[in-house]
Amino acid sequence: MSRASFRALGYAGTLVSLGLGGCSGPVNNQQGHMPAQPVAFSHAVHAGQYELDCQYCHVGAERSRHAGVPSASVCMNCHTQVKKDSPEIQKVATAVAANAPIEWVRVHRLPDHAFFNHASHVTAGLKCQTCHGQVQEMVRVEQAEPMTMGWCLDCHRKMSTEALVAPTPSAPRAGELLALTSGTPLPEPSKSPRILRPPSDCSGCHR
Amino acid sequence: MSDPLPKYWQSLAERATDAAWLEPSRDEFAEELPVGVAATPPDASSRRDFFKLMGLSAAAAMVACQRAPVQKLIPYVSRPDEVIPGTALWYASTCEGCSARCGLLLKTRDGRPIKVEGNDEHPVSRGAVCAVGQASVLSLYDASRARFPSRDCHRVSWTDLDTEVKAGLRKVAEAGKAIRLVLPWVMGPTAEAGVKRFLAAHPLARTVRYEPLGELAAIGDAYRLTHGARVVPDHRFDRAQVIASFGADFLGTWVSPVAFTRQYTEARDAAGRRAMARHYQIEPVMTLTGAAADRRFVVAPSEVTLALGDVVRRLAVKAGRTVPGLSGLPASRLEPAHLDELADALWSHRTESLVVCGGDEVAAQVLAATANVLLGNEGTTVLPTEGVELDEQALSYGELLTELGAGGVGAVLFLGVNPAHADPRGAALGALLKGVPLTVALNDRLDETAILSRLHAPASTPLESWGDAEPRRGVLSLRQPAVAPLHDTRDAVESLLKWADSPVSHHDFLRARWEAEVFPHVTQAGTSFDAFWDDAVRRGVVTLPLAPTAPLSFREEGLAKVLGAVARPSVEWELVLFPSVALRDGASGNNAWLHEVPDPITKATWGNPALIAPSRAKELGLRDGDVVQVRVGGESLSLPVLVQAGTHPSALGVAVGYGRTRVGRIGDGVGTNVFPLASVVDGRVRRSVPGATVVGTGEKQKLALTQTHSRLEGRPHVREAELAAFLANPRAGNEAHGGHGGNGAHPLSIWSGHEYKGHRWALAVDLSACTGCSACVVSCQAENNIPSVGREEVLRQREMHWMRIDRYYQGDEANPRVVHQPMMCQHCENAPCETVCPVLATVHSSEGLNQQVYNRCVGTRYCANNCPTKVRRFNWFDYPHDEPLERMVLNPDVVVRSRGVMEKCSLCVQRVQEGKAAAAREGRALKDGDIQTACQQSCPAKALHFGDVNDPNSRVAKLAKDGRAFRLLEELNIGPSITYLTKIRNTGSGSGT
Repeated sequence: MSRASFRALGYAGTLVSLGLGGCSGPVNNQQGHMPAQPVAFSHAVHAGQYELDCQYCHVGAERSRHAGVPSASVCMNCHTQVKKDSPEIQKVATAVAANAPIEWVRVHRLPDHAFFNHASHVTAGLKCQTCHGQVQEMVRVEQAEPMTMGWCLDCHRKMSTEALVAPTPSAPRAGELLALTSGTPLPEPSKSPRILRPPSDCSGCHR
Repeated sequence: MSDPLPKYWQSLAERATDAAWLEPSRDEFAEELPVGVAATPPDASSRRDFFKLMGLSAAAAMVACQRAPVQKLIPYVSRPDEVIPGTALWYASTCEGCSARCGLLLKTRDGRPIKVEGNDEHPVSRGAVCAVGQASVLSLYDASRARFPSRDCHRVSWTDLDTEVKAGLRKVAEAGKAIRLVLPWVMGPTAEAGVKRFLAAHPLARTVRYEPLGELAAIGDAYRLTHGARVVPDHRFDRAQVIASFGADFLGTWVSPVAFTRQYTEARDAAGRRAMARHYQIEPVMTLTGAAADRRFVVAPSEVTLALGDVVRRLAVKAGRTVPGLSGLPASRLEPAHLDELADALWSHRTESLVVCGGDEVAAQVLAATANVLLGNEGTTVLPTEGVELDEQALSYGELLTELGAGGVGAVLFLGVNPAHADPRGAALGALLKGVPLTVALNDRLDETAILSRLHAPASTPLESWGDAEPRRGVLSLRQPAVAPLHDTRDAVESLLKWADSPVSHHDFLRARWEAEVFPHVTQAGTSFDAFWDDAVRRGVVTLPLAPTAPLSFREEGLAKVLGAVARPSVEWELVLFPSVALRDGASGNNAWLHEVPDPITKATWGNPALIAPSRAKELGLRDGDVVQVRVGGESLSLPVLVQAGTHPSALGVAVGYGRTRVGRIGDGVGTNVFPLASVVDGRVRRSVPGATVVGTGEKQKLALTQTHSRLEGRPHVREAELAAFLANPRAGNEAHGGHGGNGAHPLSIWSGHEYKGHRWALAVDLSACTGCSACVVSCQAENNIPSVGREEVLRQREMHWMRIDRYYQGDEANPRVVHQPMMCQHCENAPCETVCPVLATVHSSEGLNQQVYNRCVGTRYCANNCPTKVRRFNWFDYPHDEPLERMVLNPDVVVRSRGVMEKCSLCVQRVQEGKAAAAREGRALKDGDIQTACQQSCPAKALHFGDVNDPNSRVAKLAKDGRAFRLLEELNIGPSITYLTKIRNTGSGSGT
């Protein structure tokens, strides 16, 4: 038997097994994924009970592709005073003291070839909850939505027919911070409103 | 228009329609499967793999609905304020790829420098970078760099090394022996201050300046003779109406090619209805600059200087002056009519002409300086006081060797110079250094010179260290690190300061010097030094108001002696050892991008074949790849020949910088080191070597050339026109459109067309501006994670560059005209690739892009077969990314493609998306020019323009409607989004064709 046929048979077997596995949803759908985290951080307490803004911690959400996981030092902005003796806070304090980052477990994972951009969505006025579910009620974060390509495109296609207008951005425009410090003129804001036309082209997310 | 289109050809074989030679390019892919020797280990599927896969499938059945493997998210413990993961940070800096010192912007992502771009605010390079500068980011991650200091190749600590060096220097001083610092000519003012401090601490120390190509030294020595100061003047090509270059490859390698290319394009902007400068080039072997010239005269290597002498003679007569020493100079063999034409053209544009001269011969530089004085160009196109001042006190490398032979030297320190490789006397260096008690190399790796030194104090790369430069008087360019040193290396200047007993960091030294010497010249009332410094670091460059200087007066005294020494050799062969556009003197010899980018003229990769004239090759029965034995004096080397149109019959041209032995795993043994063939005259290296013998050996060696990989099939891909014809008719040379009547309009189409409601992206390429320098090719490679495939795979026609530059010849093979045509995916409206893809892996976007969807691609390669411009590239392998350090250069905004998928130019769709997203999130409209493709950004000639053709005011929309605009293969009705603009020449003849 040739090498190629061995390999082909192996792949075929894999496909058959996957088919028999009783999997009903699309591949890569991890809806409901709720891994344990190294620190028992509760979004229900922080975002729900105390109504902290999501972007207090996830600073990249309005500016970057990645919303970002906060560095341990952000926790210590409050927790040098609040609940200092909690064993969970102790873990964070130890991490900061030892300069050893906390290794969180990823909940929402898109494949490497999908280039999702948080900033584009957040500045378009999308609520975080639209994709991430009612995080302010989650004690441990779980993936609320399927986060598959079809799920993304359903929304993109629906939105492009509605031609909604994005809210005025709160993030500084390019050159704005420099303008404030150096006295150069502020960049002109756009006169026309931003009409939301989310792409449904492949290259919108894949490059 | 009834004139037939000019006949273009890409290779001599195609010109002769030599069937056997064209055969390999007949098919899209050079050979069928099986693939033979692979770049990666051969596929070894076996019974064992079968069981592994079965095991996996069993596991898959059980876990199919379970979770994917655990992935960790590791944030900073304390995030630096300026860092937001996922966004790029840019640092302004200065390039050290050659002595030109262009301004850079270094793009870093998550702490890693990943891309080099030009700094628009830099007055010298004005936003462009060449291929060498682009590739410097790959050199940062070079796995073959030294990672720690060493003694006799064994690791030592910096403390031990410092102690040993200081003790050694003390002992040398006690013995009263000499200390010699071997330095490059151009280092930057603060580094020079560091050298001065070292010299002050060690009174027995002196500098030795070393430059492999000898070009700056020759200019400096000539100006010392004629103007009394060792300077390299500033040249202003943009102010010239007539440019005469005698062997100077000023668009490719000479002095400051990026700045000169930009100026040159401005001086020749026919489309802007400015007068177009006429460019004469006199050279033995075709260079990038020669290919751009309007009038190119091919002369023997030793005749270049004589031809220049003849021109000066004519100019002296016109000026009514006598130039001493000129009468003894032999006359050249260049036709007197050509010489008259050139001298007349120059004389009729006095004060707005420019004579430049390449090479390492002082006499030739003296003649060029004299010509510019006779023409009154000083103060307009040649500015001796505005250029770069060279070390007046330095010893030459020849003098160092004499001293070493005499045994009076106690210590030699090499600062990033490599004479053991790049000098004909390199082989002798090892023996000479044996008798020296203290030898230290501050090179970035244990290279040919460092291995001869006892101590190695590896210097950090320019991307990891501070520094400054003064590329033109008053232009101070700062270099800041974009990353902390990756290894246990140290800034070379910091090492010198430490050994001068003033242990201060280069940063502090630089800042202190700027506060004391630069800040007082800046007249900004009320600014603190801190504010000035922060702004200078942010901008990367400061332009000081120039205090007027006394002009240097021309002196004739020394002329007779230097010109009297010029003789005409009567020999059969003369060698021309020239720097190649990518590799230059070979310092970046371990850079795969620079080896893989095809030479703009020869289209050779991964090697340095000997270039020979077609007539001479015919006479000797030599064809491409035939190995010849080249003998000069006692030295002899075997080199494969490449028959190169436009080469003088007595010249044999070979690129230097190849054949390195200790540069690293990529560059070792690539090509042949021809520096040993250079001659030494009065202690000075000459790269133009008379008296060689060339004998065929009967052996053959394959040449990894790219140009013959795709064929024209007789179609007119390039169009050109003569300036006079163009001024009379803006559509000159561009009349033929598709053969379907009208401007490419087709009465019938089987496609229903596309609707573009928003943007429609397009690119315009000006063939008149493009010089073929290939900066765009390397920029594209860096931006889009394009693998380098190596020599073997290039031989199989499997190079992966998304962008190539096609070079077309026209006319006489002894001296053809050249057109360069950048070629990338044409993003056709009716794309032939889209029609044949069975899995919809290549589809049209709503913004006019032809998208390649890697995850859908199953590798049928139908698209590549059906692509008329042959721009699609197939991943035959998972190209190696096995070196973790070298992986760091990958752009995280672009995927790394895997084996078995097709890829091609995306018009930098990641930049388009980022540009659109940035405008949207900042609440502003997208402006023309907000989005620049990688190729466009780096182009020194500004030949590429990207934009939205649906915006009628955009540059690209206007160019698409220009009289010069044409599209490829209009007769096929493919509707490319790429517009080309006719090449305009100013040869002075009536017709361009």
